[in-house]
Amino acid sequence: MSWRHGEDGRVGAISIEYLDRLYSYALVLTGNPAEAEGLVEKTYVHALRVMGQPWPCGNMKGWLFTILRGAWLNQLREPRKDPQMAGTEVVDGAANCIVEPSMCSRDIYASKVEAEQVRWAFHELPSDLREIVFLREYEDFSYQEIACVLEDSVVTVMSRLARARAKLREMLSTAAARAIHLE
Amino acid sequence: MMKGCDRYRAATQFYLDRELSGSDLEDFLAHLEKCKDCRARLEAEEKLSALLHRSRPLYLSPDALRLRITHAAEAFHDVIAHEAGLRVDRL
Repeated sequence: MSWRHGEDGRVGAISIEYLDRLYSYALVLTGNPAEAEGLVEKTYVHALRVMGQPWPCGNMKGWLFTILRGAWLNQLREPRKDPQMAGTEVVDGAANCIVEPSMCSRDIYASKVEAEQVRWAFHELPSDLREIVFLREYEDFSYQEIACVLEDSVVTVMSRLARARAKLREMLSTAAARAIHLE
Repeated sequence: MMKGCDRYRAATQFYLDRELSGSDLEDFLAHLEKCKDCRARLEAEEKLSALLHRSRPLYLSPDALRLRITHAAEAFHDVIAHEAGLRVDRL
Protein backbone atom coordinates (compact mmCIF):
# COMPACT_ATOMS: atom_id res chain seq x y z
CA MET A 1 0.00 0.00 0.00
CA SER A 2 1.41 3.41 -0.84
CA TRP A 3 0.55 7.08 -1.08
CA ARG A 4 -0.27 8.39 -4.49
CA HIS A 5 -0.48 12.05 -5.21
CA GLY A 6 -1.18 14.11 -8.25
CA GLU A 7 0.88 16.87 -9.79
CA ASP A 8 -1.01 19.41 -7.69
CA GLY A 9 0.38 17.84 -4.48
CA ARG A 10 -2.91 16.25 -3.43
CA VAL A 11 -3.15 12.88 -1.81
CA GLY A 12 -4.91 10.14 -3.76
CA ALA A 13 -4.32 7.04 -1.63
CA ILE A 14 -2.98 6.13 1.77
CA SER A 15 0.22 4.46 2.96
CA ILE A 16 1.75 3.22 6.19
CA GLU A 17 5.22 4.42 5.19
CA TYR A 18 5.33 6.95 8.02
CA LEU A 19 3.79 4.75 10.69
CA ASP A 20 6.96 4.27 12.80
CA ARG A 21 7.78 7.96 12.55
CA LEU A 22 4.29 9.02 13.56
CA TYR A 23 4.25 6.54 16.41
CA SER A 24 7.63 7.85 17.63
CA TYR A 25 6.36 11.44 17.48
CA ALA A 26 3.21 10.46 19.36
CA LEU A 27 5.35 8.78 22.04
CA VAL A 28 7.57 11.85 22.30
CA LEU A 29 4.46 13.99 22.83
CA THR A 30 2.54 11.73 25.20
CA GLY A 31 5.14 9.46 26.80
CA ASN A 32 2.47 6.78 26.87
CA PRO A 33 2.34 3.85 24.37
CA ALA A 34 -1.44 3.38 24.56
CA GLU A 35 -2.07 7.10 24.02
CA ALA A 36 0.48 7.15 21.22
CA GLU A 37 -1.30 4.32 19.41
CA GLY A 38 -4.61 6.15 19.79
CA LEU A 39 -3.12 9.33 18.36
CA VAL A 40 -1.68 7.52 15.35
CA GLU A 41 -5.05 5.90 14.65
CA LYS A 42 -6.79 9.28 14.89
CA THR A 43 -4.19 10.72 12.52
CA TYR A 44 -4.79 8.09 9.84
CA VAL A 45 -8.58 8.26 10.20
CA HIS A 46 -8.44 12.04 9.81
CA ALA A 47 -6.00 11.80 6.88
CA LEU A 48 -8.30 9.35 5.10
CA ARG A 49 -11.28 11.66 5.60
CA VAL A 50 -9.58 14.76 4.21
CA MET A 51 -7.65 12.93 1.50
CA GLY A 52 -7.36 15.08 -1.61
CA GLN A 53 -6.89 18.37 0.20
CA PRO A 54 -3.60 20.24 -0.32
CA TRP A 55 -0.80 19.59 2.19
CA PRO A 56 -0.32 22.63 4.44
CA CYS A 57 3.35 21.92 5.18
CA GLY A 58 4.33 21.32 1.58
CA ASN A 59 4.65 17.55 1.78
CA MET A 60 2.74 14.53 2.98
CA LYS A 61 5.02 13.78 5.92
CA GLY A 62 4.68 17.29 7.35
CA TRP A 63 0.94 17.13 6.75
CA LEU A 64 0.61 13.89 8.75
CA PHE A 65 2.75 15.25 11.58
CA THR A 66 0.56 18.38 11.67
CA ILE A 67 -2.59 16.25 11.92
CA LEU A 68 -1.07 14.19 14.73
CA ARG A 69 -0.04 17.27 16.68
CA GLY A 70 -3.50 18.77 16.23
CA ALA A 71 -5.07 15.56 17.55
CA TRP A 72 -2.72 15.65 20.54
CA LEU A 73 -3.59 19.29 21.30
CA ASN A 74 -7.32 18.42 21.13
CA GLN A 75 -6.69 15.55 23.49
CA LEU A 76 -4.94 17.85 25.97
CA ARG A 77 -8.02 20.08 26.03
CA GLU A 78 -10.27 17.15 26.93
CA PRO A 79 -10.71 16.21 30.59
CA ARG A 80 -8.38 13.31 31.41
CA LYS A 81 -9.35 10.13 33.18
CA ASP A 82 -5.79 8.99 33.89
CA PRO A 83 -3.46 12.02 34.04
CA GLN A 84 0.13 11.31 33.02
CA MET A 85 3.11 13.52 32.38
CA ALA A 86 4.63 13.35 28.92
CA GLY A 87 7.89 11.46 28.81
CA THR A 88 7.57 9.75 32.18
CA GLU A 89 6.65 6.26 31.04
CA VAL A 90 8.69 5.54 27.97
CA VAL A 91 12.46 5.44 28.23
CA ASP A 92 13.74 2.39 26.39
CA GLY A 93 13.15 2.27 22.64
CA ALA A 94 12.92 -0.63 20.24
CA ALA A 95 16.17 0.63 18.79
CA ASN A 96 17.97 -0.70 21.87
CA CYS A 97 18.20 -4.01 20.03
CA ILE A 98 19.77 -2.56 16.90
CA VAL A 99 23.54 -3.09 16.59
CA GLU A 100 25.99 -3.42 13.76
CA PRO A 101 26.66 -7.11 13.02
CA SER A 102 30.39 -6.48 12.53
CA MET A 103 30.91 -5.02 16.01
CA CYS A 104 32.86 -6.94 18.66
CA SER A 105 31.27 -7.37 22.09
CA ARG A 106 33.18 -4.46 23.67
CA ASP A 107 32.10 -2.16 20.85
CA ILE A 108 28.52 -3.39 21.18
CA TYR A 109 28.63 -2.63 24.90
CA ALA A 110 30.12 0.84 24.33
CA SER A 111 27.60 1.54 21.58
CA LYS A 112 24.71 0.42 23.77
CA VAL A 113 25.87 2.53 26.71
CA GLU A 114 26.27 5.53 24.42
CA ALA A 115 22.79 5.05 22.91
CA GLU A 116 21.28 4.66 26.38
CA GLN A 117 22.95 7.87 27.55
CA VAL A 118 21.68 9.74 24.51
CA ARG A 119 18.12 8.47 25.02
CA TRP A 120 18.31 9.27 28.73
CA ALA A 121 19.43 12.85 28.00
CA PHE A 122 16.78 13.18 25.30
CA HIS A 123 14.01 12.12 27.67
CA GLU A 124 15.31 14.44 30.40
CA LEU A 125 14.80 17.48 28.17
CA PRO A 126 11.78 19.70 28.83
CA SER A 127 8.92 18.63 26.54
CA ASP A 128 9.14 21.59 24.12
CA LEU A 129 12.89 21.08 23.64
CA ARG A 130 12.49 17.33 23.30
CA GLU A 131 9.93 17.81 20.55
CA ILE A 132 12.13 20.16 18.57
CA VAL A 133 15.17 17.86 18.80
CA PHE A 134 13.00 14.97 17.65
CA LEU A 135 11.69 16.86 14.61
CA ARG A 136 15.14 18.06 13.58
CA GLU A 137 17.57 15.29 14.56
CA TYR A 138 15.38 12.22 14.28
CA GLU A 139 13.03 13.31 11.47
CA ASP A 140 15.30 15.66 9.47
CA PHE A 141 12.63 18.32 9.07
CA SER A 142 13.87 21.73 7.89
CA TYR A 143 13.35 24.81 10.07
CA GLN A 144 10.48 25.86 7.82
CA GLU A 145 8.80 22.47 8.07
CA ILE A 146 9.20 22.39 11.86
CA ALA A 147 7.71 25.89 12.10
CA CYS A 148 4.76 24.68 10.03
CA VAL A 149 4.17 21.56 12.16
CA LEU A 150 4.44 23.58 15.40
CA GLU A 151 2.55 26.56 13.96
CA ASP A 152 5.33 28.80 15.23
CA SER A 153 7.96 31.08 13.72
CA VAL A 154 11.27 29.93 12.21
CA VAL A 155 13.09 32.23 14.66
CA THR A 156 11.48 30.43 17.60
CA VAL A 157 12.42 27.08 16.08
CA MET A 158 16.06 28.17 15.71
CA SER A 159 16.42 29.52 19.23
CA ARG A 160 14.64 26.56 20.81
CA LEU A 161 16.85 24.16 18.89
CA ALA A 162 19.99 25.98 20.04
CA ARG A 163 18.80 25.81 23.66
CA ALA A 164 17.95 22.12 23.32
CA ARG A 165 21.37 21.25 21.91
CA ALA A 166 23.17 23.23 24.61
CA LYS A 167 21.16 21.41 27.27
CA LEU A 168 21.83 18.01 25.66
CA ARG A 169 25.57 18.69 25.46
CA GLU A 170 25.62 19.70 29.10
CA MET A 171 23.75 16.57 30.23
CA LEU A 172 25.83 14.23 28.09
CA SER A 173 29.15 15.68 29.25
CA THR A 174 27.99 15.33 32.89
CA ALA A 175 26.98 11.73 32.20
CA ALA A 176 30.32 11.02 30.49
CA ALA A 177 32.28 12.57 33.38
CA ARG A 178 30.28 10.45 35.85
CA ALA A 179 30.99 7.30 33.81
CA ILE A 180 34.75 8.03 33.80
CA HIS A 181 34.65 8.63 37.56
CA LEU A 182 32.97 5.24 38.13
CA GLU A 183 35.48 3.31 35.97
CA MET B 1 38.95 33.51 19.37
CA MET B 2 38.89 35.71 16.30
CA LYS B 3 37.15 39.04 16.21
CA GLY B 4 33.53 38.67 15.08
CA CYS B 5 33.18 35.00 16.05
CA ASP B 6 29.88 35.73 17.80
CA ARG B 7 28.49 36.58 14.38
CA TYR B 8 29.18 32.99 13.30
CA ARG B 9 27.73 31.29 16.37
CA ALA B 10 24.26 30.99 14.81
CA ALA B 11 25.77 30.21 11.42
CA THR B 12 27.36 27.10 12.91
CA GLN B 13 23.92 25.73 13.71
CA PHE B 14 22.51 26.75 10.31
CA TYR B 15 25.44 25.05 8.58
CA LEU B 16 24.95 21.89 10.60
CA ASP B 17 21.25 21.85 9.72
CA ARG B 18 21.93 22.52 6.01
CA GLU B 19 20.12 25.85 6.28
CA LEU B 20 23.02 27.98 5.06
CA SER B 21 23.40 28.81 1.38
CA GLY B 22 24.83 31.28 -1.14
CA SER B 23 27.11 34.04 0.08
CA ASP B 24 26.30 33.26 3.74
CA LEU B 25 27.66 29.76 3.26
CA GLU B 26 30.76 31.01 1.45
CA ASP B 27 31.38 33.60 4.16
CA PHE B 28 31.02 30.99 6.92
CA LEU B 29 33.33 28.50 5.21
CA ALA B 30 35.95 31.22 4.65
CA HIS B 31 35.80 32.13 8.34
CA LEU B 32 36.00 28.46 9.33
CA GLU B 33 39.26 28.10 7.36
CA LYS B 34 40.85 30.78 9.51
CA CYS B 35 39.22 30.21 12.91
CA LYS B 36 40.23 27.30 15.12
CA ASP B 37 37.59 28.06 17.78
CA CYS B 38 34.72 28.03 15.31
CA ARG B 39 35.99 24.76 13.84
CA ALA B 40 36.06 23.28 17.34
CA ARG B 41 32.51 24.51 17.97
CA LEU B 42 31.31 22.99 14.73
CA GLU B 43 33.02 19.69 15.55
CA ALA B 44 31.28 19.61 18.94
CA GLU B 45 27.91 20.25 17.29
CA GLU B 46 28.57 17.58 14.66
CA LYS B 47 29.54 15.10 17.35
CA LEU B 48 26.28 15.68 19.23
CA SER B 49 24.28 15.38 16.04
CA ALA B 50 26.05 12.13 15.13
CA LEU B 51 25.33 10.75 18.61
CA LEU B 52 21.63 11.44 18.16
CA HIS B 53 21.62 9.97 14.66
CA ARG B 54 23.23 6.78 15.95
CA SER B 55 20.35 6.33 18.40
CA ARG B 56 17.77 6.33 15.56
CA PRO B 57 15.12 5.05 15.27
CA LEU B 58 13.70 5.97 18.65
CA TYR B 59 10.76 3.55 18.54
CA LEU B 60 9.12 1.04 16.25
CA SER B 61 5.35 0.85 16.08
CA PRO B 62 3.67 -2.30 17.42
CA ASP B 63 2.60 -4.87 14.81
CA ALA B 64 -1.00 -4.74 16.09
CA LEU B 65 -1.17 -1.01 15.35
CA ARG B 66 0.25 -1.53 11.87
CA LEU B 67 -2.41 -4.15 11.21
CA ARG B 68 -5.26 -1.94 12.48
CA ILE B 69 -4.15 0.99 10.33
CA THR B 70 -3.79 -1.21 7.25
CA HIS B 71 -7.29 -2.66 7.76
CA ALA B 72 -8.81 0.78 8.36
CA ALA B 73 -7.25 2.13 5.15
CA GLU B 74 -8.42 -0.88 3.14
CA ALA B 75 -11.96 -0.61 4.54
CA PHE B 76 -12.00 3.09 3.72
CA HIS B 77 -10.92 2.47 0.14
CA ASP B 78 -13.54 -0.26 -0.24
CA VAL B 79 -16.23 2.24 0.80
CA ILE B 80 -14.88 4.86 -1.61
CA ALA B 81 -14.74 2.32 -4.44
CA HIS B 82 -18.28 1.13 -3.63
CA GLU B 83 -19.63 4.69 -3.60
CA ALA B 84 -17.87 5.46 -6.88
CA GLY B 85 -19.49 2.32 -8.36
CA LEU B 86 -22.93 3.42 -7.17
CA ARG B 87 -22.45 6.84 -8.75
CA VAL B 88 -21.49 5.25 -12.06
CA ASP B 89 -24.54 2.93 -11.85
CA ARG B 90 -26.87 5.90 -11.42
CA LEU B 91 -25.61 7.62 -14.58
